[in-house]
Amino acid sequence: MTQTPIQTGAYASRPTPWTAFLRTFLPWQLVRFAVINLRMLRMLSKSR
Amino acid sequence: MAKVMVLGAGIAGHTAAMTARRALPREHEVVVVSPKDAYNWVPSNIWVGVGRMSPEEVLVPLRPVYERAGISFVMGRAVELRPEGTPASPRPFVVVEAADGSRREETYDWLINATGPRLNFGATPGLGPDGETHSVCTAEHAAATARAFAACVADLKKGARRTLVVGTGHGSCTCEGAAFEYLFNVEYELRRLGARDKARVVFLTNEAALGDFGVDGLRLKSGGYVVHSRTFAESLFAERGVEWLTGAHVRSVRGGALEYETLEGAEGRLEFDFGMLLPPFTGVGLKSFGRDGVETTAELFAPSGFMKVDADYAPKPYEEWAPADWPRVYQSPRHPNLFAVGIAFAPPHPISRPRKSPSGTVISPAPPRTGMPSAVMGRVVALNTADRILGRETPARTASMAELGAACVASAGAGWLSGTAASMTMFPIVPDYARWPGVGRDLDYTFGEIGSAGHWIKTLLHHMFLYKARAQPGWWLIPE
Repeated sequence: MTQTPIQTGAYASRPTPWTAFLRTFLPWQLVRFAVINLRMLRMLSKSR
Repeated sequence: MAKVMVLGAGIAGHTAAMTARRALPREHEVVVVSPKDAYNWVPSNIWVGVGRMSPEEVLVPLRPVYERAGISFVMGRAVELRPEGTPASPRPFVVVEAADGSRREETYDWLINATGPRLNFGATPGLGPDGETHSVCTAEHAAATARAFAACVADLKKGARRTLVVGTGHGSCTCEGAAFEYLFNVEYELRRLGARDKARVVFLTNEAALGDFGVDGLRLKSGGYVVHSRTFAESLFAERGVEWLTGAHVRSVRGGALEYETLEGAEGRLEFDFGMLLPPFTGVGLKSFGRDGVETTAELFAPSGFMKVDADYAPKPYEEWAPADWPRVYQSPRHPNLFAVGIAFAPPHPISRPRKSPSGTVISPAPPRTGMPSAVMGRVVALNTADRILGRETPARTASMAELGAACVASAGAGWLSGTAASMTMFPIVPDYARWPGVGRDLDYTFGEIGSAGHWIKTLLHHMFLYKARAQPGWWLIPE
């Protein structure tokens, strides 16, 4: 039986500490909340 | 007076029934046939599966909703379609089987098949709630999964080492996004509960690469490059310390271990203590008969059990797949008053590139057709049906997955300030490599990012769609 090694992310990209911090930084996420909603509405309008 | 019948009360069927009811005057009848009398907002089942929500929080009892809306409800499972009636009566009908096994005939003028999938746990020996793994496909399954997860956490907190495996339980599964969400909610809860250090968390998937999601992955603009979603997905796995195995087909589950083979031809065995593996889907097993009683199932349905509609089902190689292969109005080519939406329609082919292992096992995601596109199909077919009933000569509305976009929010932990989710949009769902060479989709409408904002959006959608399902005032203003 050939065993496939399960991958552990040795070669994966990783976020910088700043990027990881921004993911849960409240003021920035409030801005992103508005931006993501607008982008989703824009995509919805294109779909119709 | 016309009678519109909807089979199924999931996201596609419930949307179709409510839309048809709103579009048609009361002299026309709308009937829903479903084996369950509750609507399940399935995208939140992942939170039930980690104990964050109760099943009641994702279920809506349908009888009071339909009573208020003026929709008739028949509780039972549709087992036979008679689109041409019988020699004695030409009116089409459906044979409905109740929970006690009794059968009755329900006539219709227009039929929308939104029966969803049969959860085919039997495709993999030992898979599923009757075997050795768990599921989040229904609210009941998810509640049982939460109990098993809580027991696993208790063992970890006592100092035991445990292996948790999450993913797909067969090479032909779909809904990899749901497995991805459940995985990261499990990992998040383990950390929140102080039980992460002794836990080994493994993701096993039939996707050839992480981030495929059954849609050939997404290409996104980032840092001056067009980057495949694989990069971002692998990054999240590495960051959270989750191991992964891609391109895998689970052959069997027994004795606390699963045996698998991969696209490279390797075989392996993975012992685990807690497993949530999704099953493959098939059609619900509806059979159809002509007026003379001769079975026509093979003409109306694909071998998978899903219903054939206005798609191009001619077998062709991946290089020749085209957006035009995908259905636009979801109408049966044999019966113009018969439609299939959501998971119930037979897709012409997968979206991701098809792959096989050296031994010939298909290890390739089936195309997802749940959630937003499913509801859009239900609405479009209901409106087109209403137009025909009312004698309007308007052109048919269309909802091809090659012309529709989709928004998807994949939860990665359910805390208001520490939780996150990956928010994604794609346009179109089915990539068009001739129109957008190399990327397949419009990069201005295809994006993804992870953060707390995504979690807030997923929570907001949970409440909005349950409000809509309950048909509260102004429900129709909430887009699918």
